[in-house]
Amino acid sequence: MKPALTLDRLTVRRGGVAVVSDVSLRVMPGSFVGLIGPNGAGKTTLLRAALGLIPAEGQSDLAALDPGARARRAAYLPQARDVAWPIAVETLVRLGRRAHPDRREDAAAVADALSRMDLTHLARRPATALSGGELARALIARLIAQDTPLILADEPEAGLDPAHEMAVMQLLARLAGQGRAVVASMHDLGMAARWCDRLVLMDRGRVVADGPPKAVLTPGNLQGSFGVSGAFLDSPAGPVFVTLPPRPMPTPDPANGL
Amino acid sequence: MSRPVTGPVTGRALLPALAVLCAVLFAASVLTGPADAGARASLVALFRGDGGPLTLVMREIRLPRAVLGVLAGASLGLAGAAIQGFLRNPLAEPGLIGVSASAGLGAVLAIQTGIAATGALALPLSGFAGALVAVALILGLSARSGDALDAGRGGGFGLILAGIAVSAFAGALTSLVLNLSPNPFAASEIVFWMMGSLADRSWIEVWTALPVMAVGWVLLARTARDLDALTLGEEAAASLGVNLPRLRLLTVLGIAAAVGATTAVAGAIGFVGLVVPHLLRGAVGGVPSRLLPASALGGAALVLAADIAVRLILPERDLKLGVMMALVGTPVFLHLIHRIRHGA
Amino acid sequence: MLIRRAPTALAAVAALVLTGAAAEVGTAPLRVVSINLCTDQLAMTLAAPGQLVSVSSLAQDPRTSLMADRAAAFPANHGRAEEIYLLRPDLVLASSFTTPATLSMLRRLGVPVATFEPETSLDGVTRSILQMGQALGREAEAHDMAARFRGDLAALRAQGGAGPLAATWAANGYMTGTETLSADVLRAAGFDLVAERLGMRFGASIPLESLLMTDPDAVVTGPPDGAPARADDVVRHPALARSRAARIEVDDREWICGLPQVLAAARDLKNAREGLERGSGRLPPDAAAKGPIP
Repeated sequence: MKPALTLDRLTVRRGGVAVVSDVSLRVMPGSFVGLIGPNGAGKTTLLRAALGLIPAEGQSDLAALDPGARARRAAYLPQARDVAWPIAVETLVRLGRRAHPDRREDAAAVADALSRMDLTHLARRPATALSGGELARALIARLIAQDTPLILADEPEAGLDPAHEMAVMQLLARLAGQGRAVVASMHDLGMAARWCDRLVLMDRGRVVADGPPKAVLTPGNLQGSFGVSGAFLDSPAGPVFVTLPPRPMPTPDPANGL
Repeated sequence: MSRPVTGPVTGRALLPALAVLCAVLFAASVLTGPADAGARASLVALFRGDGGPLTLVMREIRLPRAVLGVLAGASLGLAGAAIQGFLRNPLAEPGLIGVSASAGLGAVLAIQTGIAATGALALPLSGFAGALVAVALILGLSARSGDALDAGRGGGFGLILAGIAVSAFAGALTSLVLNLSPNPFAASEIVFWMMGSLADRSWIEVWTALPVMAVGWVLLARTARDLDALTLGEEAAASLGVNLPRLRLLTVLGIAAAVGATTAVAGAIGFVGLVVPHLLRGAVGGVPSRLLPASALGGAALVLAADIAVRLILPERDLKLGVMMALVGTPVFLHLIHRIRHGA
Repeated sequence: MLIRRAPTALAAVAALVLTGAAAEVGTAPLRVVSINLCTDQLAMTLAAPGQLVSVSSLAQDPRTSLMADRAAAFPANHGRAEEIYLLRPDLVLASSFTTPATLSMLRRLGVPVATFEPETSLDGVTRSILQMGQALGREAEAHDMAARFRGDLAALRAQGGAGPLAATWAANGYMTGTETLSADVLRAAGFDLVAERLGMRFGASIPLESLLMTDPDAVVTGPPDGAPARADDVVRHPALARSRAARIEVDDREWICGLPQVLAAARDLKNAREGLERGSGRLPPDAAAKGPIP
């Protein structure tokens, strides 16, 4: 199978300092990759460089495409969530169809994206009149309408209430399950562990760990990169990951519950 | 124009309605003037032509004035909608951010140095050059705020401050050049370059400005689809396939050509590019690509209306268009500031 | 001696009387400085040799002055109180429209100032000549000059009947009104005035449309200026060129001041008027070249 994203020794320098350093990554279709790491680790920069939005050394197969072809290969949800004008939600979502040549498919794709994000009833509402959570969902709906094999999302769960956060993660996981590749930066390690099949831990511009959640969220990695500890706990819905105060604070005994 | 994003149904009749409004105002403009000749006699003189003074007035003074009103208004409305779309800022306006003042400076320099007399297009091209410097400067300043990708909204007041500086500087240089001119009447023109007027313009101004304006319109029309995507921010737009450097170039050149040529022949008519997009944004569902043609028509209508008003209020005086525009535009501007400060 | 700014013709006469009284007791000024283009030229015409010590820089500029050559022999001033004071004048000649700040400064410094009303008619020229004669203590020369001027004017003045309709037309669409020197010169040359039809007494910028609707036979403009300005566009407006009005050019300096030389402009205008009336349809022979309606 051909990878959905291939990065080879990607390096981004800003003012002589490498903010992303030597990152090589292959993301296969069907995979939901959680990009985790502390603030300033270079997650956002990596996503931008992968898309070719900022200059970088090394190779990114996405960045090599022309802008139109890239927009059909990868959809990107940036962190900036402000919508400049009071365009209707439906119009906003339709922006995702920009790079697709066939207008006849637009209406169905937009309607599908709206309904998946539970926005059909808000289709005519100006985007500037939405609540933060509604806006986040509208922007993700645009991502879905773009209908690309690869989705890059910079903190897609930011600003969402628990129910919608859960829904978004579930949706991204389902999109991955349907054969797309999803790479999402996220801060909620619990969500990352719960929904992603693979985590990439970045710290100071480098990938320091890459693998299944249990292999990445080790005490050493957590302490080294985040300065916290954490543990996988059993729950009725399967193992859940919780972050915990850094050592040498005592770790609660799993047997006693929380 | 490129295929626009379909907006809400509201305002499907907007463009035809604006076109009709323009036509009515155009007719009213042609029939307004100090020579109180009556509509019927005026129209007969215009279309049939009796060789008398009224025919001359209708064909050589009223008609070019009205046509120039349409061209100037359309250029300013279009430029206003485009620069607001590009900067994602409803306060951006060619007059407010110093583009008109700089175009005026370019035109004044061309007139005073004699460059304007070297060719038919020399004057509008000089206005274009002046405007180009200002637009490039303003966009440069606005882009420098923070990351190259985040031309966020916060730059609104920075943009206005930069615009005030550019405007004041260009205005001062214009005044200086006119004060230094050996022509005794040059200094009296400062008010024209700051306020704008269509009085006693002729077909010469129409034909010299039109080619440069038209180039500007074509360039700005080509920004339409990209401006839609830019609603989501530069990063999202870029990821959607927008070529940002190309968009920037189209916007800068288009605005400079449209506003530069307008200012070179009609002076700096302010507020059109602010008021018109503001009034029409709701009717087009906020969609930038739909706002462009609507603002062009709306700008034409507003300038025609203002030019009729200046002739009705003080028929024998050359009341400057900018005075009327400021009366309409200042409340709108303050309202916008208020809305932005108290959260949009 | 100190003469207050005289806003009316009556006050001008009063000033004249005062000046005359001064001259009678034999106090003809010895160091006269003129700071106004019009008093410059009149003073150069009437002053005794050595009496005038400085004229304004405008008098030396051939674009504004008819006597630039003669003015070149004098040190120029720029109408500033300080430089004028340093010339130690015992009389300063100024216009009643000279900057009030300059005049009051000179008076505070104890410099006598004689102010001259701008001439608004050909009779006003006679008055100015006589006033200048008295101010300079050169009454006899002034009386001779005034008599010659009156004679020349009487010989020139057109007799009765309606003449062609004319208007002056300048930068910014400025038209002089009926109570101006140029209007009186046009009347003397036998023209009827557009300003009369429009009821304009002084002068104003008016829309080109208003001028054209009076359907004038002639439009009097200055020659093209070397220094370009947008204000001149309206003088070159194609509608004017396409109208049937003949274009007559009179250099501004010819009639900007009430000098005896203003009669030369009147003579030229009279010739132009006669040319208009001779030509069929009252168009002068050269008007066709200026592009009437085809």
